[in-house]
Amino acid sequence: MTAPREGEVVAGTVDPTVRAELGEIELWTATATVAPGADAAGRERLGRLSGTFRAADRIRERAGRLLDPAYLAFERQVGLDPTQPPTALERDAREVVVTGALLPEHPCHDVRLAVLAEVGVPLGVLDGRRTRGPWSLRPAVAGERWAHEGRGEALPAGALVVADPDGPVAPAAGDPPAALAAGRRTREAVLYAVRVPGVASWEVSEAVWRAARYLSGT
Amino acid sequence: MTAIEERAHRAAELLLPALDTPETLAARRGLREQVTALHEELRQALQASWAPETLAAAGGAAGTGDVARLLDLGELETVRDGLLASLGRVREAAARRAEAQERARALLDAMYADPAAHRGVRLTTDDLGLPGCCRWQVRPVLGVVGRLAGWWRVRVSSGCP
Repeated sequence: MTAPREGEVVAGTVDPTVRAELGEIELWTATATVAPGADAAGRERLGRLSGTFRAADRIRERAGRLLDPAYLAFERQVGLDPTQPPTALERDAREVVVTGALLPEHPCHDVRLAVLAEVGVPLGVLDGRRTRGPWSLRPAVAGERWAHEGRGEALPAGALVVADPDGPVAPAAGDPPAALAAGRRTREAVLYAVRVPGVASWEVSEAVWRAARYLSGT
Repeated sequence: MTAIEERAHRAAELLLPALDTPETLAARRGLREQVTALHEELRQALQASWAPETLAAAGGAAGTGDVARLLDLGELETVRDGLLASLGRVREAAARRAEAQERARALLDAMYADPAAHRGVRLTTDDLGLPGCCRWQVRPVLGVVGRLAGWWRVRVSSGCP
């Protein structure tokens, strides 16, 4: 099997137990090198989106959230409270109703925010130096910890995680641990999104593809 | 326990886990469908009566935690029951809000009918359940002159800043 090319969207493996329990779940991933001009492009994109994004309407329609409603139903199925966004990005993004603007930070943040505003898909971005493919979606086993965090707190058994060959790298819904998350200095990014029942598969894979293109400036 | 009873007990012990797995999976799927339907009902209830108090009533449902994970049958039942309770709270909050808005509309009519009896009373679009950001306030005509002469009227603000 050849390694996927940069920017190519790849379907990750999904554990059969997860599929049996939760239905048509998919994991889409892609890698991207952050282009030198991604900062300015991200700012410009968010500025443009701020002018057209009807956040108040969306928040009202989606019970206080910006995500596609199918993700809210999914959160309910996996024991989360959908009235509280599991990611800091979405919690902060709701401030757009007050500030009137989607505020840029750095390319990896901006690309997540753009995808959230455009299609309502929760995109995750990991630092490519801390994780390597292939990635899969599976339940954590008892006593398992985040990869590269050997002394961290153990994950509860059955926690839904995105994992690489070394172990879990991110929760299926929520922010990845700080040591693995992409930040301002990230140059090699790993993008991932979980498709849940009720959302079209192409919509999620296209969101990941589009985000990879945004980051790489192609 | 007789030998026959003991054999039957052992057979049940061996068989039940094997039978239980698919039955439990089907039961969990059934519960998930209920959870999805209730969640949609809750979303629609929130959309119909959108306000901070209804949103607050929807939060903190039982059976929720910080980490996404596969739930067992008992946990799914707790989530469903928590959702039902949330739905009840949201409907109550929505009913209270509708009553308050009804009272506010009656007050607005009374303010127009007899401004002098409602000096200084102020209502907002939020109080009336209307979109936008207008205010209705009973104020004196010509300031101090109107205050002294008892000339009062309802003034409507120009809208959002």
